[in-house]
Amino acid sequence: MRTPEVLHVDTDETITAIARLLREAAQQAWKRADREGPDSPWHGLGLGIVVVAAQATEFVPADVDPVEPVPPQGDIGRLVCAADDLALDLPVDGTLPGISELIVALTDLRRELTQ
Amino acid sequence: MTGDERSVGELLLDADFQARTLLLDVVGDDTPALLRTWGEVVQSAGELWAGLPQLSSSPADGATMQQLETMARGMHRHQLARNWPGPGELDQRLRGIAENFVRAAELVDGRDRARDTWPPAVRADVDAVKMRVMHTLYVAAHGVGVAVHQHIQDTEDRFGSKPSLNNRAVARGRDAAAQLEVFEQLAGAHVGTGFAKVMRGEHRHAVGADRLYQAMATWDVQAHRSIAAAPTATHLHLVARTQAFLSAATAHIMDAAVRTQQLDTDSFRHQLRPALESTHTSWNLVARRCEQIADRRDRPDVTLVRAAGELRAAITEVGYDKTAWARPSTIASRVDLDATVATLHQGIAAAVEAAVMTRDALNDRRMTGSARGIADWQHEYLDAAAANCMRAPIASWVDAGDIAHGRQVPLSRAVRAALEDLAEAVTDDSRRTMASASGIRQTVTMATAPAAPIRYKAPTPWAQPVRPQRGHTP
Repeated sequence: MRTPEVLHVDTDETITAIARLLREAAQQAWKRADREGPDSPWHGLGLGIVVVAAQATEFVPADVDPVEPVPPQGDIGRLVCAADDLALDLPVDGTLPGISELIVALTDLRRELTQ
Repeated sequence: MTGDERSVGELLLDADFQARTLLLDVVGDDTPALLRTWGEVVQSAGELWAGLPQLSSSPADGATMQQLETMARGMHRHQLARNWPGPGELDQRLRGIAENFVRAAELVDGRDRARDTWPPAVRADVDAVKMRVMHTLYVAAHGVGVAVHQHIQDTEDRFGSKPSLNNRAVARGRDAAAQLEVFEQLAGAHVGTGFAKVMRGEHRHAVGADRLYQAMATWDVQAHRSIAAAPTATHLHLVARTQAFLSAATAHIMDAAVRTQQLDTDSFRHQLRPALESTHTSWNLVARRCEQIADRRDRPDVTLVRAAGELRAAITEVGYDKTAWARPSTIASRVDLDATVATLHQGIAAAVEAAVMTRDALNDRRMTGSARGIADWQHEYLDAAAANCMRAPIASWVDAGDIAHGRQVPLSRAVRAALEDLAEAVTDDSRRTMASASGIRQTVTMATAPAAPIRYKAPTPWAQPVRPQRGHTP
């Protein structure tokens, strides 16, 4: 009945990478929204990304920078998908209370951006 | 299931993965099959749970699973009584999850479930198994809920919202959505004791104006609370971004009302819309600068984050169609525009308070800024000045040592003056918007209220970026 440890990942590193990817995705979304003006739908999408990024940042250790190094991807969809892919490695065994909400929010965001 | 050599842990990992995939791929048309299969998933999860060792010291043990099973049975009975979604195909993704649970239950069956002498490692592993089962149910319930909401929306778009045989899925779907909402809330409360605690009791889903009204009221209160408790650039950034989005959304939804002949067209186009766009741009400038000077290690208040997320969700439910703004006719078919416009008017009034609060916070002596962010800001200003052949003071706004060490520093006079200018702009624009909005409200019969005077004070030059320019319309 032993739960297999399929991947030996550092949870802190994973969650920090997720936060950085989302922060960068939010930055890209704001830039695009600013370019397109007040009518741009990216204002709402950017706010959605920022909200999920803030949820992720809650789990980042206090002494770690949740912004830099900035991820290399330049596409908003790819940044969010990369964050969602990383979330598959997060443990849902109760060691990170509240992580399930983040996972759901992240998957929702990916679905919203890729639909 | 013969030949399946996977362990309990592998089966549950796969179930979890399938639940996430379901949430990612689900569409409205899947709803009938999902609802038919949902009971099987919960029942198999309950059987697996019952087969796991009952460890009295385990925090994961309790009545939650029994409650969830009872709720799923209730849902099933309700669907039978109302003959919806009726007989038909099952959802293979949910069946896959249920089969994994059944197989896992077979593997754990026969073990000594009440033994008090389990070693700590085994106890911890049992807790982890239960948590993963609950997490899978939580994610899957959310996925089914997403499909049901989409199905309701699709049906309304296709057949309208008036009761008829064709759109019976609307009322019945709403019942199912409400039941799934409670299920998700209960499972969420079990899997999360941190963020979920904040969400508990707030996770409600009213439709249209009710939800929007509630979300705006909650946002308004929470923004004041969070900034009063900690007037940080991080909080101001989130507040300003959210207010900017709210201004843009107000313009878009009110435009839908105008187009469906519920508002005075000229007053909206010549007064309110430009004022809203100007307010939107002012908030964005505040947001940009606050983000720039925010302490990167600062964490925003989770309750504020939650309130912003709910406000965004309430607005997108009304005003978005996937990733784009919805057409006016679509918005008009979703909500009672009279009630929604009234709610948005209250939001416009509340935005003035938010602007004043932001101005006060920016003037707060406790405010500090990131030395690196302030230096970046100055570089932007100097580059813009050079590009526009302007003279600019070259004295550094921050100490080089503070930049090198990434310190937070008290705001210098120059930075304070620039922030004050941005705050004044957003306050003036919000007031002008409120005046224009009250004009619109009174002029369903064509009388227009005068707009508030535009501020006369020349802005601090470095408050303005090169682009985007502030959105005063010509």
